[in-house]
Amino acid sequence: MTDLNQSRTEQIQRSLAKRYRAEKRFRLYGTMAIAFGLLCVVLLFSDIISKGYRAFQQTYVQLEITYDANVLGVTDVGDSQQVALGDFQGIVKKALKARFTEVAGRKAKRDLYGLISNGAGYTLRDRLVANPELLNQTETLWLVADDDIDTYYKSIGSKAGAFIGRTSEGRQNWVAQLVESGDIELRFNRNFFTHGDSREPELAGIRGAAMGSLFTLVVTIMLSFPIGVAAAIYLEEFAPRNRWTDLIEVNINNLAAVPSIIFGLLGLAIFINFFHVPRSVPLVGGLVLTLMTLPTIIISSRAAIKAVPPSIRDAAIGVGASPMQVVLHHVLPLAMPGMLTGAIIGMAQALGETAPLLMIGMVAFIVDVPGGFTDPSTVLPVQIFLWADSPERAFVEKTSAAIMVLLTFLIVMNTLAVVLRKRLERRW
Amino acid sequence: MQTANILIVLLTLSAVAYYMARGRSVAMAQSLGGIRHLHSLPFFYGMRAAIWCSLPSIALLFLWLMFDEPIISALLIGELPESLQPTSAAEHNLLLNSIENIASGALSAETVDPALVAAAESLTGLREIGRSLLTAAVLSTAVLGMGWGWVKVSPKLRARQQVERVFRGILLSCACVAIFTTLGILLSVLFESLRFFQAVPLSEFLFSTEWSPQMAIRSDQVGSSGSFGAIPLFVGTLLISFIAMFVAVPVGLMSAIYLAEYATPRVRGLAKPALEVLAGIPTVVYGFFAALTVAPFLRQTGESIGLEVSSESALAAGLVMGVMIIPFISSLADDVINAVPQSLRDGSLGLGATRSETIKQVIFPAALPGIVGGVLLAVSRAIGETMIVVMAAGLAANLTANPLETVTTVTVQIVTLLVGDQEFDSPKTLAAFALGLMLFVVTLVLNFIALNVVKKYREQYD
Amino acid sequence: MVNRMVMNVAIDMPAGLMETENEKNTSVYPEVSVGVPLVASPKMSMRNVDVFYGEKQAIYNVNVDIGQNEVIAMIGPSGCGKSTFLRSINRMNDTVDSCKVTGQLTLDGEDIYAAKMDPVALRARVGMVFQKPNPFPKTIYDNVAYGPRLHGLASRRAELDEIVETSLTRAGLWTEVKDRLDQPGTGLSGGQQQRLCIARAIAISPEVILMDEPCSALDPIATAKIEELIAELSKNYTIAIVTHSMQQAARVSHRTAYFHLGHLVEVNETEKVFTAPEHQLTEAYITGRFG
Repeated sequence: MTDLNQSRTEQIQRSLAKRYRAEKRFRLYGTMAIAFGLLCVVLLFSDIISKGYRAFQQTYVQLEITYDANVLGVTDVGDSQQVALGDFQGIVKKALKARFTEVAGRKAKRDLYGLISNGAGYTLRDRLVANPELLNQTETLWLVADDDIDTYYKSIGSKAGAFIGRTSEGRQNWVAQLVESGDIELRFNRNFFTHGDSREPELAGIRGAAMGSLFTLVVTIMLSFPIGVAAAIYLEEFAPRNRWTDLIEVNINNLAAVPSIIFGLLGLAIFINFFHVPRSVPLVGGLVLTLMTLPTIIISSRAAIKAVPPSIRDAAIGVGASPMQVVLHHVLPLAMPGMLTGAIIGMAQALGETAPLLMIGMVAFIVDVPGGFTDPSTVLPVQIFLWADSPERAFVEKTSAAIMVLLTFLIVMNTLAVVLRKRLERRW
Repeated sequence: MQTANILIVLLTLSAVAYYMARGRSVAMAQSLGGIRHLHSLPFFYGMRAAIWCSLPSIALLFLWLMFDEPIISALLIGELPESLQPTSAAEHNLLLNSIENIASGALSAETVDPALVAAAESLTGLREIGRSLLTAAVLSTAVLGMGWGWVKVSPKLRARQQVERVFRGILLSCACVAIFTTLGILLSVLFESLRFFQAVPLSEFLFSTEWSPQMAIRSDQVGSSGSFGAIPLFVGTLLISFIAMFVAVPVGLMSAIYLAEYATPRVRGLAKPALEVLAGIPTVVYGFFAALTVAPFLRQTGESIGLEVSSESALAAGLVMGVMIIPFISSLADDVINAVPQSLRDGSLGLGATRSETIKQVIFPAALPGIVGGVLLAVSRAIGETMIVVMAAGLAANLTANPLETVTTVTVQIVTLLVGDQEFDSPKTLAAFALGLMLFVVTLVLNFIALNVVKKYREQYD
Repeated sequence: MVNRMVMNVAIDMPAGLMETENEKNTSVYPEVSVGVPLVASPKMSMRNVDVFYGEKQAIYNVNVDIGQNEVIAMIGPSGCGKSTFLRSINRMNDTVDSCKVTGQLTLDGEDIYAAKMDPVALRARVGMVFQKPNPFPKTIYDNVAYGPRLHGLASRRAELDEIVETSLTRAGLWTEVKDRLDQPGTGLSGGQQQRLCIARAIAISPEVILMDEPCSALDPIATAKIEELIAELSKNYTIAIVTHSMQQAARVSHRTAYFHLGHLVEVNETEKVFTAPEHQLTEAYITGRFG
């Protein structure tokens, strides 16, 4: 017996090395898979951040501006018609000409005027309206540079070498002069947070899209949370076991996995073409996202209700509460944290959704910041899509920055959900 | 009154109705000698009145809002002289738009047909009348309901049962939203698809290999008819989905196995949420990443080893989509693997199996149905994914299996056909709905199978 | 024997234990188990074994031997640590991260927890049968062939067939399943499943078989069959069986060890334990005063 054991043990020992190599290899595959996943996370974030962090700064050029009434064609600052028609870009041009006196020739001049953004005129107009006494006065101001200059200036001294692109040699020279005299610098990019969309990258901002997202989400949460919770209560507390209930459940589970773009088609065909809800507005976006997030909210709310132990219901029924009272007084308050967590996750999903909104016309180019549920608007992810499609190089930076803003919102929402779940978690 | 104002007034009225009916029931109870002489608690009498006050009036409000615009426009068009009567749906919309613009002052009244100006005036008039009528109708319904709720209060009234029945009805109708959504999806895509298949035969759509939906503006242009063979789209979709699954399945599965079987609680607690970050990133971000980082990188790498890689290659979109799906597969597989009973692990380890042998020979076979279900769900996701392919894959409908070339997908075409200006009766627009129908049916079937497989699997170990 | 009992209360004794003593007025745990815990030329020997789950101690200073070809039963009230102790013997506790085993455990004089001792090879020598029948979701044949295949014990199919047949025969299952070896093992009845698990364990010819309440999930008829099987197996194998059924211990074992809240109180010939227990706790348990 012992001899037999001995030989068998040896037999096992012999194969062990090979088996352990297989074990090690397998474990390595696992580690590699995890590492790959984590690497993707890191790559994605570092790529976006490295592309976008510069967008929070903007190149400004310092110029001596004279509010020359003759150039402006404005004699009375109080006259809004006059101010509206005033040639504010003209005084910028004049200031540039004064700064670079050596520039001659039409082409060179046009090149020179391109140093400063087209938006500078509006800044000056607003300044003059606010300070009428400035008329015919001179002041030194920092003005937003054109996007090409911005890209060029930011890339000077980078490892890859300066990005020249459309920046002509003349402009490069002028920038060099400005650098020497300290008249060009990077400042915090306020426009990015206060402006709507624009064709000019240096003027484009995310405020319009952010407000659009906000209005859309408000519609979504106002509709999907009550409906989702009501549906969950019905299915968990009242629904009889029959075919109709089964059908509802199958539908909910399937809808949770239907591609989001299909909801866009639904919105287009039903809400817009049938009910004539206006296109491109947060109201219709919210309706579509409501239908899309409902399954998520219903499923998580049901889980929350299921987690309320039956003993509590029994206790309430035992003292003579009606089914409605059991739900309103006991089940709902106890399940609320779980439901809220689900709702936040659903909203995060809705905030990041793009495809269905393309279908219902929220891709329009909209400059104005929306002020209500029926103003045409776009949303953050769609703005990202639009900018990503724009040819101007400066928009790459803006897109990445907008993504950073969107991701920040999402991270905040998800963290909130996690914290809520952790803090309100109840062990029965 | 504005709709929002009407709603506010309704809410106030309902509150008033609640307090009045409640007060009346309490007063009655006092004369009888206490609340226990009432059939229901005063709360239910109040609620009953509030429901009577609000529900019918709100229903009326919404029905009205749904139908007033079509009725007004029909009236307007009817008033127009013969010469201006629209002949097509597009013309009809155009006409309504210009009347609308005149009425709002966006279009100067001097330059257009006086008949339209008149129509614009009557539009404003009709709208005003409509508003007042609506306000009057809704509010009087509310007041009537309130009165009814108040009058009917009596100790014998079964208020609680009635309120609870309404309550249940509301809950049920909320639950039915899911069914209506499915129905709405089906009807909307089916209806438009049928119109599409009247113009383009189903057999051409399903079996032809030529896809160029450009409809010529003039009928004598080349290719005026457009061609709608969806085979290249299906092949492109499958190609990209295949690449995605090629990345996501091994990585997702191995991550799940590692997390479930090897990782210490600490590593698991860190790595699992970190991986799930990938699931929380919006697809538009992946699209940006694919188009601006991965695609150029692949192109350069290809160039350096002498391969021609398209800048909108299927590979770039597929790879990034795969990364997106990793957490989806890993969390589903993680659930499934954790559902395998510990006793099976013990049994195998107790026989002297190593961990990897246990996983490969016992846990994996046991978890296989659940994993297959999860992978099917992931495939359905890959097929329906839109933004990554819209941004990183191309528009050219090439029929190829080469991942380095440009292909297009069903979702890309839906977006391209529907974004921008559309006429609703051209086959080009309708084709999007036909594609949507295909997409819906395919993903529905996949989901249905997958959910059932997973459910069966769960029951097995419950 | 009484002089072996030391009456001072151990400092590390959990609070719950003190209560037991005060209320029941039974004796304190002996520092060394009473009875005959050690034997001459043991198959396995355990000395000063402590087992911890994180901060919590589950086994306190256990000393016991298992003799060649003997059946030793471990009994005691639930939660007394008998299963934990059993799982330490073939290092199944390694799979629980927080579990730590100290002391000296040997198999044929080799230290089980030595660095050069391989848990995989050890488990091939010390097999285990679990509380709940846990056949793999594979065919009956593959279930039994699983171990031999892992360890490369059969080089040819015929050899493997032979191992499967002998194992199933020894487990008393061969006649019942020989015509359906290709059907899933999960399709058998509970008792058959447990015998299949025993067949699976003996297919790799372990030297020791550990059984963790093998009959607790079975009906009386299936239990009787397993008990018969244990008696039969004891001719060739050394068996340690954990059970919460005193009758079962009395029926199948040669020696019985009584565990109480992590302490090994008494080990002796089975007959002695059940007829003339030396320790008050043992007596209280077998007479049914708690358990």
